[in-house]
Amino acid sequence: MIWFILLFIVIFGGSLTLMIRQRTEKREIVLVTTLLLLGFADWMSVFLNHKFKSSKVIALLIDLVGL
Amino acid sequence: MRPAIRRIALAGLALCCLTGCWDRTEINELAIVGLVGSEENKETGASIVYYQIVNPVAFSQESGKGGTSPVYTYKVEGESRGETGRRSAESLPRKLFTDHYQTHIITEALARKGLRQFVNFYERQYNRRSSLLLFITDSKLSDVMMTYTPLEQLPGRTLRALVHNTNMSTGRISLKSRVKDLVENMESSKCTMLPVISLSDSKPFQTIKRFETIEANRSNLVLSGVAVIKQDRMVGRIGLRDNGYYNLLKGETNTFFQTIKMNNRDIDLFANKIKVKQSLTQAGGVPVWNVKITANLAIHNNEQMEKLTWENLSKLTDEFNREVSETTNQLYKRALKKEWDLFGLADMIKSKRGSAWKAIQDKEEAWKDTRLNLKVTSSVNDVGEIINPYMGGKASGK
Amino acid sequence: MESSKITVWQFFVLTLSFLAGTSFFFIPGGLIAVAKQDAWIIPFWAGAAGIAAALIWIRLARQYPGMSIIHICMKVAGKPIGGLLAFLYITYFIQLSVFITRNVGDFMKQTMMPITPLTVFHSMFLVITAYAVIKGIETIARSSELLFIIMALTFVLIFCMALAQWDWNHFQGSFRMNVWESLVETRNIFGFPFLESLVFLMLFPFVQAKVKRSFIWAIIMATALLSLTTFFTIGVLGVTRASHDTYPLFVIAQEVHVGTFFEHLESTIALILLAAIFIKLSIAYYCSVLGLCQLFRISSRFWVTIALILLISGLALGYDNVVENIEFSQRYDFEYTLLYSIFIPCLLLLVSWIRKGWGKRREEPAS
Repeated sequence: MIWFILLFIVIFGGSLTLMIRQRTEKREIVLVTTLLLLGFADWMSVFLNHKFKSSKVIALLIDLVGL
Repeated sequence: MRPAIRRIALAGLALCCLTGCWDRTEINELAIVGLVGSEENKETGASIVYYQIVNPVAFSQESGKGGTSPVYTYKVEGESRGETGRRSAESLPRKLFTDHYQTHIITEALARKGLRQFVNFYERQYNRRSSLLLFITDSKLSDVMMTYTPLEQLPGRTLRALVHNTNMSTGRISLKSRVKDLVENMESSKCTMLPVISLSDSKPFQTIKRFETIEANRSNLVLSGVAVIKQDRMVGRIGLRDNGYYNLLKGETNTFFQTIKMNNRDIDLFANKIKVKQSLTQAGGVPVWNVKITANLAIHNNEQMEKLTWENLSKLTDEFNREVSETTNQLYKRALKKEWDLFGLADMIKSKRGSAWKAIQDKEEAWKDTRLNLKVTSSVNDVGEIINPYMGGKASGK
Repeated sequence: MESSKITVWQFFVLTLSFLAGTSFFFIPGGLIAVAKQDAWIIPFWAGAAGIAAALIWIRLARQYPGMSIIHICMKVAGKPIGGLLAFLYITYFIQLSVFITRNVGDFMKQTMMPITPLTVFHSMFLVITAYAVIKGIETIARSSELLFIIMALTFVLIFCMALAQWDWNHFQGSFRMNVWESLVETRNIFGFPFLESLVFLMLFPFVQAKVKRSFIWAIIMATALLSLTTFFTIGVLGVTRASHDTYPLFVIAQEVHVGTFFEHLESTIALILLAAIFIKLSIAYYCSVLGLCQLFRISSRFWVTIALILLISGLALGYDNVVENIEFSQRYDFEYTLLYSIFIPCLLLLVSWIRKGWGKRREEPAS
């Protein structure tokens, strides 16, 4: 897990600096950051043994709607 | 220069991703299994497995002067089927490697109890081979597993060769004796036939001194019959000769051997290019199974004192046809009496449609009334090197 | 925004590989377990439903030429609601990519490399796919053109060699299917693969001409292929075995042997499956990236694509085993896909018709 976090921080920092240096649009930076953080959160959920199961969420929603 | 370096770096990175084998096992850490035998401990119900491990030293060029055993048999006992494989680690100095074994022996007692657990366990494994040949043994399993086979030193390979050779020479063992054939019939009424092997002596020869004797037949493994398996349970056995007729009727063989008697003298016929046509019809509320067999005959031995003529040959084929139909009919009736659905008649009846069949289908055991309408036709197209026999003393009429 | 173009043939190949590419591997077992000997009939009605759905999509796309589903959503339903719908579509594409990624992992782990961790397959595959996605749809189309030929040839080869095991007796007792029951039990085949092809709503703008014809033909071909594969599986493997194996086609390839020297072709079939999954994943992945780019009006795909690798590979671990995956697709996939493939497109069509009618009526008094 430690390695993953370290790797993530390196990638995250690296991509942010690269993006800023390339003068990418603000919108894009925000979107990419959000996506990266989402991915990070999901990976952390895997590491912390609370897997986020997207299919379970969909199944729950469908059951709720009652199709 | 920079792009070149970058490219090399990228290639290096990509190379790191080539994982190769994740299990990091070298070949000399493996215990390669050649033959497996399983039985059940009668007292405790635990499962006992014998692993016959190929000894690479005996086969390597430099050190293979003989003097070491070509195979070693390990016995492992465990509470359950899965445990035995795992517990092999307690006695084997190498990792058990079962990916390539192609022959499995099961005791008759276990087969009579049911093979369902075995099949389910086996089919669940990633590294299984569904072409694994299954054998039933009526001898003591520990003896069978500790028998050296001369000429072909790996017993697993010997057994496979026996099946293939018998299939080629007399058609008395079907090649469909594999796990997948058993699995296919697991959920139908059709029986599966698996070869039975026996030890030809009461006690095996347990050292490699065995390879020094000329008597190949002493304590060797031989095919001795065929086990009838209904779904997953062994229900009986028939002889090899009978199984030849079974294979013929089922259309599962290309060769067939038959001795007939004409004028009280033996004639050995070898049938090839066998074609079998089967259909199920019904007549008067009784199902009729029509089988048409055509075969080409080769005369292997002819002890008649007559010349081979047109007439004689036609008599010969008639006799062959009669003999084959009669014996086959006997086998068929015997099977019905013993309630073995050898040919999957029950399933065939079930899948028929139409009102006439409806009445038959309603009867639970209608398949047992099925009549066999067998028609055998044959023609001789190979008489051998000599046409007429040498007459010897008989020629002068003495 | 890129101005790529793909030819009619490329589009046909893309659609066909998307539809038939992975389903010929994952579908037959389930069908045979439910409908026994008659399983090969099921793809036909599913294909018919697929064509009906395709007509709706093409209708929708014709009304707004040159627009992808994201643009259509925004145009028809306005920015807030349309944006939400578009976002829903993007989540669908991402979920689809996750599902496909997981398929690779499960398959490889179960059949060929049981000890290798799942994530390794996922990330390797995603990196390659991401590369294709960054390069754009033209690259994907061209590579699929090449891969398709290799896939087809290998498949035909294995097909021919496995025919040696063919047994007509396996079809004993066919044509006694309970139609309604099988329809309900196998409803997931509507979702996967047929309705899933709604991702092509993103790609219609790139096709030069004859969208309708090539799309429909691809669906017909995919249906035929799927039915043929199922038929073939029954004939070679038999109902009993096919309905118990996770990957029947893999078992067929495993048992192919010509003599004693030419056997165990399972790696070959694994290879064509990987190629098929690559095409499918790159389409789904591309659509999610493109959707995000269109929704947030971003001009380069590079960073978004890279960022998505992390998310998709993480989400792909959200199943404990293949059973969960199969259960989900059997129970919910149909309903889930229905929402995106039929419900929302019909809604959009309806709204756009009403708007048009409204516009005309408003114009009339003015003139």
